[in-house]
Amino acid sequence: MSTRRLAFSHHDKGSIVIEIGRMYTKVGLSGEPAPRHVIRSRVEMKPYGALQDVWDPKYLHREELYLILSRFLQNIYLKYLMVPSKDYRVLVVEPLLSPSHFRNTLARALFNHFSVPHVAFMPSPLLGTFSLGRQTALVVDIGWLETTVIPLYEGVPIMSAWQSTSCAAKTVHNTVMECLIETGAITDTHTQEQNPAGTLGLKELIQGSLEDIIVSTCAVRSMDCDRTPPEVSFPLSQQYTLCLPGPARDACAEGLFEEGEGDLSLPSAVLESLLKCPCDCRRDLSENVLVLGGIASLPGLNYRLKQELERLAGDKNERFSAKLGALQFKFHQPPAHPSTAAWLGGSIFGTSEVAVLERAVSKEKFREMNQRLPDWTSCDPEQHEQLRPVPTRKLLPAAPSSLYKSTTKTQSAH
Amino acid sequence: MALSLHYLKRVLYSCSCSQPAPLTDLYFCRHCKVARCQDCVSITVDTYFCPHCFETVPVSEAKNRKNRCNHCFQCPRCSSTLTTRSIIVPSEVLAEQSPKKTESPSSKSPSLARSPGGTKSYYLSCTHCKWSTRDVGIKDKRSPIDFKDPLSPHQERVSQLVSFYKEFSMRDQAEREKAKKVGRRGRSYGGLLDTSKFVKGASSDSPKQLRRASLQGTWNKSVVNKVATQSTDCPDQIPDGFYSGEPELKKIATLQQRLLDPAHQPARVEQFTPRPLHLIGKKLLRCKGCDHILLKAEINPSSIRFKIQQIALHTFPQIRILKPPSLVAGAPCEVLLSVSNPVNHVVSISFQQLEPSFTKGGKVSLAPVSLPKGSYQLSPNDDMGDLLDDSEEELEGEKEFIHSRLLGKLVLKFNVAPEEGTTGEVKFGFVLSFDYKSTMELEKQESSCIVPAPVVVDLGKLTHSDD
Repeated sequence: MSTRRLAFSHHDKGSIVIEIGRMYTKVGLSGEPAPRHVIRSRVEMKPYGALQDVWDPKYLHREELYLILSRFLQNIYLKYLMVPSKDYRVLVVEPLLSPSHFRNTLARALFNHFSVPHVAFMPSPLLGTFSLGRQTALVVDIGWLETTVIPLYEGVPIMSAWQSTSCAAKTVHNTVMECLIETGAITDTHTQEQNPAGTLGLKELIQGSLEDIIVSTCAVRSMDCDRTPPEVSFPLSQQYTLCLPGPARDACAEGLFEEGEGDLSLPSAVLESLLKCPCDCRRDLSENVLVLGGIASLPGLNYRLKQELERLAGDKNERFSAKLGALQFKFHQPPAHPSTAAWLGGSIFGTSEVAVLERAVSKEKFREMNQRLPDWTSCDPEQHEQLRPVPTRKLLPAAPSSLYKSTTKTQSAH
Repeated sequence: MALSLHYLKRVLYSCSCSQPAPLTDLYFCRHCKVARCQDCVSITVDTYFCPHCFETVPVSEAKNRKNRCNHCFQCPRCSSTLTTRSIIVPSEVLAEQSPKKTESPSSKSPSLARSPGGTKSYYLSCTHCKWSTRDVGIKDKRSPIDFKDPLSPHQERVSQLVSFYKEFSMRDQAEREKAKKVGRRGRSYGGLLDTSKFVKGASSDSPKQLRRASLQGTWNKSVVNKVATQSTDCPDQIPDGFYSGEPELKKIATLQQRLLDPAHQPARVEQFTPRPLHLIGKKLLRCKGCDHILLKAEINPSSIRFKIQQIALHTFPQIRILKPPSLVAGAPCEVLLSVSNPVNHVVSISFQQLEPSFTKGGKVSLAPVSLPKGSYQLSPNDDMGDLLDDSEEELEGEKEFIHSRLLGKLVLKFNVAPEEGTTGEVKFGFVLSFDYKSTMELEKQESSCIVPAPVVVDLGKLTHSDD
């Protein structure tokens, strides 16, 4: 009965799905295969006019974040989505461990400044699995600053097996930058003068177009490859051309596969996480690896990761071989660009009104909770109780149905 | 106005949310009688229109079109607007090219095809970077609106997943409800009253039936597995061309070009498609306190006028620094501020000291100031004023503090004493109270009330005496 009532009582408009990444923000409406807009996570702060990074560590724990976020969201609502904020619930796709002040402030901005009726926060690895249509996956989420590895088994994240490493998109950027400063050269097309890429002033020029350099010229070398790609001349501006040496082009992701100081490499983080899982779900997980994040679109990354995983797991000298040696590694291809796969999961999840509302906080509830969101790590028992009200045994009074009967009677009498 | 632009950051008025803002950024709500800044108004999109062809699009249609224009397109290479080019194809050529189409009587535009001069066909090209739809092999169209945004390659798969999860959650809910019922009353007999299973002709394959079956019957694992993607044993390797030759950078899309079309993210120039132009909206501002409209533009996209415009600049007396004062620490310095009247009737003003709570617990240090005492009257700011005789109407105000009096303007003397050891800018504040006469048509009798406006003036750094 309830399903029928839900289906006919009103037309569901769907939800707005927002993923505020460190570099890029993806916004769109639920049910669509791709975000409407992918924009930089920045906002112009009047009257100072300067572009302000949303994730700026300077403001991350300060009160000013409210103003930054509300300006940023205002831009999204008025310029990009152009929908009235009061009519749509919001699904925020967030990293597994997002700073609580950021979450709270974002919720405060959405509820107070935009009067959004419901806001749901969902972790991006979990939503990533929705784009696959399956409940079990080992999700490797390569972000800008850190990579998180989380196994999901039948829709339940195995939190004890969570792993994180600082081998992430920034590592790739740094590797390429270092490589270029060492071996790259910049030619001035006017004077035909050649300078090393490390020259002051030119370094900033490279930094500005580093993302483009990586996207258009780089790939991840496989382990058994002995060839060197040819060098490329990349136009940085009208005046300068960067000569990109061959080795820099396929060595961009080497930093992901090297153990840092006290830090795991990407493959060992994956194996470490598998090791912590119960042994009967390891096979299911290793055969369902899902790599998320913009860096995952680098050609050859998944292939190299598979090779590295097999090498590490099979290596007798490493600690993994005894327990993980027999595992096979299989990878998933989400039906979207890897950078928007988590968003797509949110888009699919956001269409189901029941599921979102069950996990969402309403505006009234938020006010009752003193403008603080409950965290899954929060130990405040009072808050937990408020989020999940204990089902009361009290029966609902039969008023609505009897009322309905009486009105129909009077109508027929007339 | 030029002056006020110049001193934009010098004189800051305080909004009702105690946020400082230049007068040009503030609105004034006639009903709440307070100033509102950008952050304490609710802004919604009022009318949608295309910035190129100026077509006004109704709200429901804008939603259907995903906020994009039907006729105008954006260049995928340089994101400027594409222009539609038309060429006339002689009918003989057309007949040669597509003999089948002309043979069939049900061709789309028979009258055009039969016209003696031939038919018009259209393509899009960019005047800025010379990109055209012919570059990527998009055929010329019979009508300029035939260029459509291609569907996402994953559209089908995503809609399959969406319907799967919708069902999944419905079933989940139904099951939970059932469990609740069972727990409450022992057993429900609702199923016995369900007559839908006796309806004639309802084939078991209809989606409704299927849903019912899946809701009531067992949700076996095979359904789930059918939808799930299969993982691959060998992920994609580097394409062959990577090692063999230098890539043609001109044929590879930049990141910005890829993100312009998030659904396709074209990696190469050949995959570019013209993007429908994004609509823009005229904004409607409402006061958050009383929900009255503060700003409403005219619907016509080419008009830049407003239907309702309640900005503070039209109500608040505007304060400007007349000339940069010489500031010496520890000594009272005379500062000349001009106060101008924006309305065409007499406005009386007075000054009060700022409350100490305003400085946010000492965060903003303000220099002590002695304000002009008593109340002053500003002459009306009338465009015709200078044509009239100088009326000898006595306006209220103590002569001692008045520097000069102009039409609709008053220059007053303030005495600021910057404290010793001030390193940054010397600021001082006061509350400017003025009587606001409501001129609303609805309120028949003229009512006036006093509106306080806290103002902070930044005078700049101390003057260094070189002697």
